[in-house]
Amino acid sequence: MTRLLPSMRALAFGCAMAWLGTAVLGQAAARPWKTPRTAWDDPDLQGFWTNIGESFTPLERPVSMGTRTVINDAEWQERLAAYNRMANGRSEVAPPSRQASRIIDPPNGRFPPLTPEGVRRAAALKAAEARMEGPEDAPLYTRCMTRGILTMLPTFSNQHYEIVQSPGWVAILYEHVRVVRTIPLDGRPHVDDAIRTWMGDPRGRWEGDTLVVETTNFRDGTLDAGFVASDALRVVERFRRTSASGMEWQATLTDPTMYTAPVTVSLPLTRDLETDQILEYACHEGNERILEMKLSTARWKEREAPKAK
Amino acid sequence: MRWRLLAIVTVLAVVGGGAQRPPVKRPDLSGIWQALNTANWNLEGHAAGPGVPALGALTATPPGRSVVEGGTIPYRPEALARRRANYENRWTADPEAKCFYPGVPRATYMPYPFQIIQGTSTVLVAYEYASAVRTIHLDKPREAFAESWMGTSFGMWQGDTLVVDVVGLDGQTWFDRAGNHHSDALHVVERYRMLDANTLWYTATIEDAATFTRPWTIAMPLYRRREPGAQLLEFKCVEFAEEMLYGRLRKGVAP
Repeated sequence: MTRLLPSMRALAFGCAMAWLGTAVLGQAAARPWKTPRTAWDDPDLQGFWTNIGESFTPLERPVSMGTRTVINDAEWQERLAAYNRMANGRSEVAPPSRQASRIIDPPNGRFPPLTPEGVRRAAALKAAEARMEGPEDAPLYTRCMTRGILTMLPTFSNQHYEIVQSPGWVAILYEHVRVVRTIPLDGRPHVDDAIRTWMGDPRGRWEGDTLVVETTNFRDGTLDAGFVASDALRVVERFRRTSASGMEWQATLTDPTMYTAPVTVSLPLTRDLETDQILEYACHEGNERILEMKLSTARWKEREAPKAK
Repeated sequence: MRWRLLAIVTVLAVVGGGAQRPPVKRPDLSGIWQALNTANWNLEGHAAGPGVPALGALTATPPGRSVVEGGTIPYRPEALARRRANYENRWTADPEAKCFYPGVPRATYMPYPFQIIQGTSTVLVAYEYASAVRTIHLDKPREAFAESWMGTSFGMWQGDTLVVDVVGLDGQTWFDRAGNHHSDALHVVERYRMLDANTLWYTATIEDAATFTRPWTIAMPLYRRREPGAQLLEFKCVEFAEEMLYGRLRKGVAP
């Protein structure tokens, strides 16, 4: 046994040197960082991602911040503290960014004004929800239909995403309200104009190492997170890896029927070190009580209203 | 001392390099697939049958031969009685009527396409019906984190066959519209093998000692959807089930 020891030490030293060598070489190669590639030579975005760190990044920027796009040290400490109160220790996994708001354009970080038609439609949706004459009057999210493409915006739960690629396709699986998009990369045209869907019809292409996804063919009234869309909506998303553990997601939503200008939201994604599987979010399967309560409450109000007069 | 160290590092480098064998070429199951049979109406052999009378022939059951090896499902007597009850109540009790996730293996042979995206360490299977989806993990064996409708899947290659172990399935799904059912003791082992470039041979072995007297297997071909531009479309059927689920609470209907 004692005879083995020197060689074991040498082995350990050798390993350490080899590791050091790789680390140094790795560092040299890491400037600039290069997006890894799949066996079929596409940029490789695969794996599990999260943006839980952005839970406390507001959608719209406070008016008082003007066009300031990053928060200062004190503001960031506040964001970090809020985040740690929600999920202690998570900040090591995915630290929050210094981004002032999720909306990065218009430059004030706020939704552009609605068009007059937009005002009318948004009000109609609100009024329908207040009446709750039938289940179709509830918002899409409440009905467990979908949160749409903006499922990429964090809502304090289930902020896990998986990307899987095969030649010619990219699939994105969203844990929250369980959405999957399979995106063709072969440049095919969009489906018939008559085919309208809540998640839209996505078409992807590579611009360098960036995955650009253009989505059209939406139904009226899609999306949440304060954004109400018409069937004129067109979304252009960009997914770009920024480091071994980071990716940037950006989406520009253009809907001239509803909004007077396009809106761009952007958030960093980080490698999800806490999970290696997307759990099942069986929303509709467990939703009966929620919708029953909303509908029964509306019927109760209708019965009680005349009595109050 | 120095030469020994050099020798060891060299040996490590050679051994390390030798370990990087070229990756084994696996069949690529990626594509859009669909069953072409009547298993979703009834796994067992069945003659044509009536649907909802008010809807004429639109909802009639098309006839089909059994996809069950040996023809019939080996039910325990009490489980067979439950199948009969399920069948009587099928128009409202079938989870498909409510647009619930179909579970495994039913998702495979519903009369809609599904897409396999074979990634590097996971295989994603997206189904058109109800936007159901599952990930087959190839990296390490899995235990179910919790029971779920689509289960937890772990796959491994046995030669050219992808063998998928599906655990953590709940007891709420049915196998078909005829009321064939199981308990939450269900364990499914699926096998996917390419017969040729455009055909998969699919089998699923079903184990559930609480419901069946022995394990049994279904088998069927799956065909590649070859039309140009084939893709999954969105079939979020939730909205079509809402009237059945909540219509009694609608304004003007509810007391």
